[in-house]
Amino acid sequence: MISFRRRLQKNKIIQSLASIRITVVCLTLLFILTFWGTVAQVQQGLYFAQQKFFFSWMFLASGFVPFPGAKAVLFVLFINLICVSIVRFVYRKENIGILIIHLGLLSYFVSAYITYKVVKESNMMLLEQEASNVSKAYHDWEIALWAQDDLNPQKRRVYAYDTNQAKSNDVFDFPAYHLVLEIKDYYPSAQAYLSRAEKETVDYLNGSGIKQVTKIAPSKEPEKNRPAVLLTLKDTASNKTWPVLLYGDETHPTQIKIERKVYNLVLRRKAYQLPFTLRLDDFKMETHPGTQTARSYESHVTIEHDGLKRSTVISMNKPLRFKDWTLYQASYSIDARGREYSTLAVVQNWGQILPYISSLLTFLGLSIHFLFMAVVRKNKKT
Amino acid sequence: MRYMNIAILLLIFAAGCGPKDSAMREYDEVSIESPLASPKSLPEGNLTKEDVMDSMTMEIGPLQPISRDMGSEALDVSLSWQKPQHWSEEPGQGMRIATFRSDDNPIECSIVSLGGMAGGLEANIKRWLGQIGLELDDDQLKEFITSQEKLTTKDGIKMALLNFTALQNDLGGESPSMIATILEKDNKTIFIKMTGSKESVLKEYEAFKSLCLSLKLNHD
Repeated sequence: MISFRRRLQKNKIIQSLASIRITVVCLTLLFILTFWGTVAQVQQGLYFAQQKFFFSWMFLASGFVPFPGAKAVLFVLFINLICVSIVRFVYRKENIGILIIHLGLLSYFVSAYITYKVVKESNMMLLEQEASNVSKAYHDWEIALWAQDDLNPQKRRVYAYDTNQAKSNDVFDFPAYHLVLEIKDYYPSAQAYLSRAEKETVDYLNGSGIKQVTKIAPSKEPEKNRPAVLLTLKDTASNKTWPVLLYGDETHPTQIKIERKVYNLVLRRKAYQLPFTLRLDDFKMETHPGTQTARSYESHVTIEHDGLKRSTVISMNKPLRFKDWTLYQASYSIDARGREYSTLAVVQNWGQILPYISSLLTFLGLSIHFLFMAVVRKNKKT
Repeated sequence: MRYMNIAILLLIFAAGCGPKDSAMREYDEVSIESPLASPKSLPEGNLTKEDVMDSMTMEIGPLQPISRDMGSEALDVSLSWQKPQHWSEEPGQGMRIATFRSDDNPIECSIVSLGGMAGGLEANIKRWLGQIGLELDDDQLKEFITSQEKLTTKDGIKMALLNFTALQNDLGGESPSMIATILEKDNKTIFIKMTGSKESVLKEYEAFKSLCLSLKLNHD
């Protein structure tokens, strides 16, 4: 083990990557990116600023100057810290506290990376006495297809493709139904019309009566964007094709009848299946006296999992936790018919314990190091 | 040493890469509709807290299967109008058919189409009153509706022009106000609503009236 470490210490690449200059440059870049991203989000909106400055490897400043994104900077800093621990670190018992602190810092990077990769944020909007086992993403969309089953209308097997990267000529295959979708056009943000322009000659199938869509500039609040897709649906058994138009989050799916079987096709926010079914039994709200402003609101729900049911309350300060899923009371709405909807924020993050472990390690390392220094100083005095 | 260098570089490169997410996903979706999902009238005296129609979270009604084969006829009734000259129009999305703004006064006018009864006239008036901080009892509400100007378009569509500024005589010109109308036709309810300050809305009254009178319901 020691000789392997010695070999690594002598490696020129690892020595270069352990340079303190890299650490300083990375920290400086992180400072610049944090300041720049914070200012930019006023103009560009929070989501696009995050994507550009913090979740990218690189972006073009002023449209033509390449600048590293936070993802690249943190990656380099992580490699740098590992190489520092190989090359520079002196492994003595007096440095055990510093070693643990260093381990804690490295584990922060690991936990941040794992959280970035695995966390899923979505929401559920339920009408009173409605039940569901899926939550919907904020910004991601999918084309979903399922076969109509009138004998079991409450449960369906859904096949879906993510469409965030969809482009013309993409093909989505649904082998279970012998169906293939070929994308003609995909608009990340679109306007829908109930009437058709004279030059538009194709009569698209659409469940809401939409005749035409046009591409529009995306909003800087991406949750307001509604995409549209023009596609060709093909039955590979008979080679019949149908032109279909789907618009984001339509109330009705587009239904196509193929040989006595009805298929539902929809473009909607990406759905995440929860490990349980949630039913909103009652939504309760209190307002400040004499006003219409909500003071507090809570959802009385029933969770069904593996045949067992449990009732509980989700309120503003009391989320529901189930394995690695957490549901928070986020919002509510009431429609013109007086029906109350509860909106729950749903987060799945199996790495949620990792930052706590990292903090504990760092705290432990600091405590050990300070204790050690205190003992050494006391021994020197005596 | 050379192989170690290659291994180190490959390890670093692999750590930065990730798989592209393009595979088909399968999942079982459970969806149990609420019995409240069927269309019903808004209960008497029940004021809504926010205008959810403008944020497009309304449902048209329970899921209506529409079987479609090639060449089937259109199911929707489309609406056309003549906008006032000094107004600009933005195409709508979903249930909001169109939005208008005036070049002269800071108002916003929207046309929203919903299926079914959508609550009825009195319930919607009460909701709008709540939005601008006003309240009327049942007798006052009936008197208000009776006293409003009645319009009939060339196609025979009847509507009442609900001028809420008439209830704000003792309030200043900057108070939030609206003028609206509701019309029901062919199992749809169409809301035309202009909002802004009391002063702005009054200045655009004739323009709003001309928009309402120009409405036509077209069958494809």
